[in-house]
Amino acid sequence: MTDLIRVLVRFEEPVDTALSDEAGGLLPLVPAIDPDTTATAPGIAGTARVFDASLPCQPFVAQDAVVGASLLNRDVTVQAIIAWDLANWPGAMNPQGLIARGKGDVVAEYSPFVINLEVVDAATSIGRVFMSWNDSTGAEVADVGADFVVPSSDIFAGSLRFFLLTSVRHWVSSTESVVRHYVNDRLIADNVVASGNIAGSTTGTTSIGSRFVGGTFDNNGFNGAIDEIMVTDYEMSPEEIQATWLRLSLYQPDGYRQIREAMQPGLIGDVISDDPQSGAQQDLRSIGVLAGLGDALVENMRANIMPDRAYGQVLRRWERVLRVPPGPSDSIDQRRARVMGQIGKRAGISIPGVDAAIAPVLVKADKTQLQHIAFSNTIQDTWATLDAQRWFTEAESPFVSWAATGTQLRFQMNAASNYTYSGARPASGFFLRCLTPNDGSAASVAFAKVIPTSLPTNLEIGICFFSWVDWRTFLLGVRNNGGAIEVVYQRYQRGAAVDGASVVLATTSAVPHWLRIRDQRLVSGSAPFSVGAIDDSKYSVSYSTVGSSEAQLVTTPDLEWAADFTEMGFYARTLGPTGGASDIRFDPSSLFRSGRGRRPFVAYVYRDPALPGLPDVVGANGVIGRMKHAYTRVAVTTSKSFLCDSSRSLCDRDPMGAI
Amino acid sequence: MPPVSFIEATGLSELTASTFGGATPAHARTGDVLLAVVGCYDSRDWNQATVGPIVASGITYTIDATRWSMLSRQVLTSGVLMLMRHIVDDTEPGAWAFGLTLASTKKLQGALLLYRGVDKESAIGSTSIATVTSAASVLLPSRTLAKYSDLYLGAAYCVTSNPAQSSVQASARYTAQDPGGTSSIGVFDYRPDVAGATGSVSTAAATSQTFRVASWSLSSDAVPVPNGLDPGVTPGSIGFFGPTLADPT
Repeated sequence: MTDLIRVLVRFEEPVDTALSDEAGGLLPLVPAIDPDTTATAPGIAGTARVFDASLPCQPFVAQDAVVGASLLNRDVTVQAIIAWDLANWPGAMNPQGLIARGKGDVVAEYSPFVINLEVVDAATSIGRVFMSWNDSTGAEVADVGADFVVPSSDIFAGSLRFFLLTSVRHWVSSTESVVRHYVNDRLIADNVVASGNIAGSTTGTTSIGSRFVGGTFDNNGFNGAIDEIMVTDYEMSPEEIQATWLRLSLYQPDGYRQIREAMQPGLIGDVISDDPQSGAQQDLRSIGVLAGLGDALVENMRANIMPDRAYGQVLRRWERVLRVPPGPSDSIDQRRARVMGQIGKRAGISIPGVDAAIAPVLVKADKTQLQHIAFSNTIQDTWATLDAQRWFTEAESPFVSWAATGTQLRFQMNAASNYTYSGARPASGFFLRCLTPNDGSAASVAFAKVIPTSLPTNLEIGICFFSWVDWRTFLLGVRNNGGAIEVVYQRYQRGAAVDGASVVLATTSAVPHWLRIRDQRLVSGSAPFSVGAIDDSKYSVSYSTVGSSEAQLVTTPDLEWAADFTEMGFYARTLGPTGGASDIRFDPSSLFRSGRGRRPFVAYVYRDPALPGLPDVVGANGVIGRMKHAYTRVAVTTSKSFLCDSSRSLCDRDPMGAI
Repeated sequence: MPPVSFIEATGLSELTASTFGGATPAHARTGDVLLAVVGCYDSRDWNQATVGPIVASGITYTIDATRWSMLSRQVLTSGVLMLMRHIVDDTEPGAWAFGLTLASTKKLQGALLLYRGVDKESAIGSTSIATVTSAASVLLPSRTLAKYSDLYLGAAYCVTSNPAQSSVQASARYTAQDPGGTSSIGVFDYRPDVAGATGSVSTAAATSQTFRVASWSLSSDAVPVPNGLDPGVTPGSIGFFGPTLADPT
């Protein structure tokens, strides 16, 4: 993707000489009517050309030098340095054509873009700029435009005040375009046009200074002066427009001022002529403008090198470095959002960044009917609600319950409950909430902050790894053993306790505990292990009553055991009938992370099948197009069943086979 | 900036017996003005035609007063046309809901209209309401626009399935009727580009019906006043970068 200038006319040529297009898109521009009745005048960037809208109008016209070079029926920017004389505008005339691509009268001349200037009120110098184009039926489509008080100019008195006018069209879809207008560096309109049907032909005629309507260039002539005019094939950003305006209006003039001020007192006037037209002053001006140009470039780089404001080459470089190439109809805002999202990734994923990148697409796709579901290798719940599609619950209502309080996970059990668990398959008497760590448990981590609001005697609660393969269970919890609060772990395989009785790590008190089970295989410095053996992995268990930092956690030596646990989660069990009602909370800092798996970086666009209407396939695929840069796989789905995380069934097999 | 730019409209409908609402227009962006035009009906005459609580027994409405303003409530012959305003911010929800309890079926119709370039401080001028019975041409009351760039907004509400929907003079921004044929609405705007009285603004209906019509004037943002550069002061600048120097960043 390159951003190209398609037309650039500077009007430096003398009258009666064809104008050249520096960009090479157009053949030499010649007066529509010979002889050339326009005149030249000093501009702010060299010589300007004065157009008098009095009849007959005198535009310059040309065909494309390279076929289709100026046929821009998607994104386009027209930027011009102009002076506009409203006071001497012939009042009966139509909107004035500053530049038009195509005469608009026949299919071969349908216009993909026209910049129109309209006098709203000459007495108060209010003018309007709007962009129009022909659709494929030839009908003219226009945005509502933008009004502004036009800096006063008089082409007959030679009084010209130039300003920078920029009109930008971003093509969104076949039914929508966005048109923005800027005067100087100020955005004066941001209009949505309900049409993206933009016609045009490779044979169209480009005219500058008027537009062809009703078989003539007359009655649509521009009344003012054009210093320079440029057409690009991309959506110019506000930052680029601002940089151009600051260079023209501030930095370059300021460079000349600084050069003059740097001269020795008395030198100008006594030794060097102070006449602006003198050779000495013109030399000083040239040096000053070049100094100002340097300032402008540096300031532009300083202001716009970061991706939130980058454009052009810099933005493309960000996209290349981060490997997030733009889509064909992406707006510059979307491209920046995608880059920012990529930069903002954490642990390989950036939900906010992706959400920002796809937001404009979700808008098109009807955001009320589509939902972005993204998976990372970490599950951490806010416990605003207990999502039954994510958490598999074993409980016996109303005696035992797991519930989300809005801020915590809460476990409650009636007094005198007795649900022991001794390694047999999880069933009655054992309460487990598990999720899948995908392919094995390499470097997987289960971490929880347990808050024993009410931990009656005989209750044990904590976190676990579990495998349905041979009912391997790794429990780490806090229990009330006859009034003694103990941190314990226990491992089971095929119904047998691996370590005998529960291993008591510490005797603590009924305060919050931080618990962690971690597969050590991928932790730097861990002992080597034999792949494929029953003891092919190493686990550490950690606890703390102080905090969650590594320094605060007490960690056991590695425990060798089989890898490939399939689930992680919370558990509760009893040593015997509990001595009272239970109320245990888990803090939202609790998390489960799979170190290796197929689900990370997978995302879905979900559409509720119960919604009325037809599926917005186009919109959903548009979302996919934006998301695929951030995820390995993206798919549309109409079911959330893959959220269930039940390794006992195949319900969590998603459309792409990930679990 | 003028002219006021209409962006998008979405419909409002009854959600429950005591609420109505609709989806936020998808193009809403911070600073835009979102207007809710609502037509509803009660078998009793409502006797308050000004902003404030409705005093008829059993009739209440609730809006999020921190985010919405009730700009106008026009009442005539058991029908009410309301105009509410909200300035879009960066915490815009996907949908809005309002409370409204009436003694009988609301026969509610309405729209959320998104505009850009509407003055956020004084978004409404004078208002009026009238009942019009007409087959082909429904006349909406004239409004006096303070500035050339102000916008005329009108609505025609009918308790049959017969929306005034064919735009004659104004642009139809939203029209709807319920399938049961109990109510219909048309919302229009008109930009004459001159200050002063607009005269009656006409739209069309399919058949002769009693319409409750209302109109409002919306003030536009001020016209920007950019600076110009005098070649005598800033001559000789380097103009646009050409293809070889373009994109110097």
